[in-house]
Amino acid sequence: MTTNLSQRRRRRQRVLQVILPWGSLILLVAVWWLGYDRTRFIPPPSAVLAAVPEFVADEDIVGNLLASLGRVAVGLGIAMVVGTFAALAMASHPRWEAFFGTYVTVGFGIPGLAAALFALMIFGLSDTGVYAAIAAVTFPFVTTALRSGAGAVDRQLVEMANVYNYGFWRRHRHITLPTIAPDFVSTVRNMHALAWKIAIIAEVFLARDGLGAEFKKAFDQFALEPVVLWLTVFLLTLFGIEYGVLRPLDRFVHRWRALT
Amino acid sequence: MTTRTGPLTNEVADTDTRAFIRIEDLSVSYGGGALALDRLRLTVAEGEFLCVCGPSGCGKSTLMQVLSGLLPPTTGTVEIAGRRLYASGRPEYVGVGYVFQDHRLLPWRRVRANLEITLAAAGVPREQWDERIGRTLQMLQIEQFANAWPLRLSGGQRQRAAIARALVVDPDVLLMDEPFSTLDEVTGRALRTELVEVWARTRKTVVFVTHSIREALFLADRVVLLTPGPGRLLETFPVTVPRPRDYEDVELARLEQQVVEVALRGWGMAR
Repeated sequence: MTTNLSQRRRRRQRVLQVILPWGSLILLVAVWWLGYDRTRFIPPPSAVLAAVPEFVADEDIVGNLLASLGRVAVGLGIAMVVGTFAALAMASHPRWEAFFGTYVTVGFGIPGLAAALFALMIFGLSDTGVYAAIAAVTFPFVTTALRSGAGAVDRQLVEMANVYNYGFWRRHRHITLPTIAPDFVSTVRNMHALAWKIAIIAEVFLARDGLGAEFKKAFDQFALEPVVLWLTVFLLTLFGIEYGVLRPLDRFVHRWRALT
Repeated sequence: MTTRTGPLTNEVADTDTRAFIRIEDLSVSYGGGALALDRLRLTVAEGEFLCVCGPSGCGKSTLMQVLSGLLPPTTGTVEIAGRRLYASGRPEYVGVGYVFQDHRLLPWRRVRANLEITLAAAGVPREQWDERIGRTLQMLQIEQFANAWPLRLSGGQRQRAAIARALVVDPDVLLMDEPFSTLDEVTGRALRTELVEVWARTRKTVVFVTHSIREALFLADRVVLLTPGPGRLLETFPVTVPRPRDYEDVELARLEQQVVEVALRGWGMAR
């Protein structure tokens, strides 16, 4: 009886897990369908759907996507490297805590738009500017997220490593890095979406290709269907990376945990 | 008391002439000046199974840290296999096997990788790894867990893996710091019996720290009682009961009574 009940409950939970995300998507489209003509310019779903073949045929979707993706990867990569370094330094000594603390506090406050404009002033129209804008905005979050984990290295494991002569590199590779790896991956996951947002803003000003540049081009020509379609491409990419790369990566760094 | 010949017989070693570990006037004081060990003198023969017993805070763990190369003595000397430790006055790599109270396996590395990393750190050539790991895991009856994650093993299996890590580097000395104290009674007993068998096969010199007199008597060739902190040598008891021993052995029970009496007086708890 009880197993039957709990089985049924579990099955219902699984069904809900599948239905709910799709349900929220369908609701969104329904609101769009019912509400578009109350707005000034939002095109109806039917018009957007009709624009798909032309969009796919004429636009360099893959090329622009890869351009943006590359910028996100490099920008976030810089932020992860600098942030990890800063977090380890902050964990190692109060002096560094104070030093990087200033950057982190200031960094939290920088609006994405300001970072993009400053990058434009410093680097001109270039990818370097986009990297810098992404890195500047995400770096404080990375540092803060990794800071607590960096101080949590198990002293007893370090003692074991000393008895067995692990040495500097082996100790960091097999104790320090695995200790911060779960925090590192969850930080990448959390920062990934933010990095995309900054990348799009920065591309509006600093780039000739990429999703941000395409948004701007489409909007300048008042081509509203492509704006919606580029947004769709953007969201699909975000979902794809979350489910195709980041979640499996998260499972990978947690694979050694006890089964509970 | 009967004495058997054969591989499981104990020989009570003449510790002065055949000292493998020689501890002379060892004192350790921590920062504030409080002594953890006070002029401890102790020798251990090659291949001997020595148990060190003492109340909490008697410096047992401090002694293990000194022997493992982590903690230089404040005064006094320690020699293992004729080599003087801490000649430079700093912590150093001694090459002992060390089993801690908790397993201290790297939880994010499989059992085999834990052993491999330790072999690499000890400078053992890679060609020997497979054979050594296979043999050691088999000896501890955990070869089926070579590819398991440590946290998915039972407490007893983890401690077996920790012992395997200690033995795989083929150390001169095996240090064990209350390695079975967190296990349940039955698992603890099974592992003690196996440890004695493994010791009989490998003939390592073992220094085993415990607060359980009964455990010490079951395992050891010789039991050393320390005083409450700062630790000094209180009394030494040779255990000549032949192996394999039985927990209910009359002779062990008689010895236990004797040791407990000395301990009660020496630890200031006699009434």
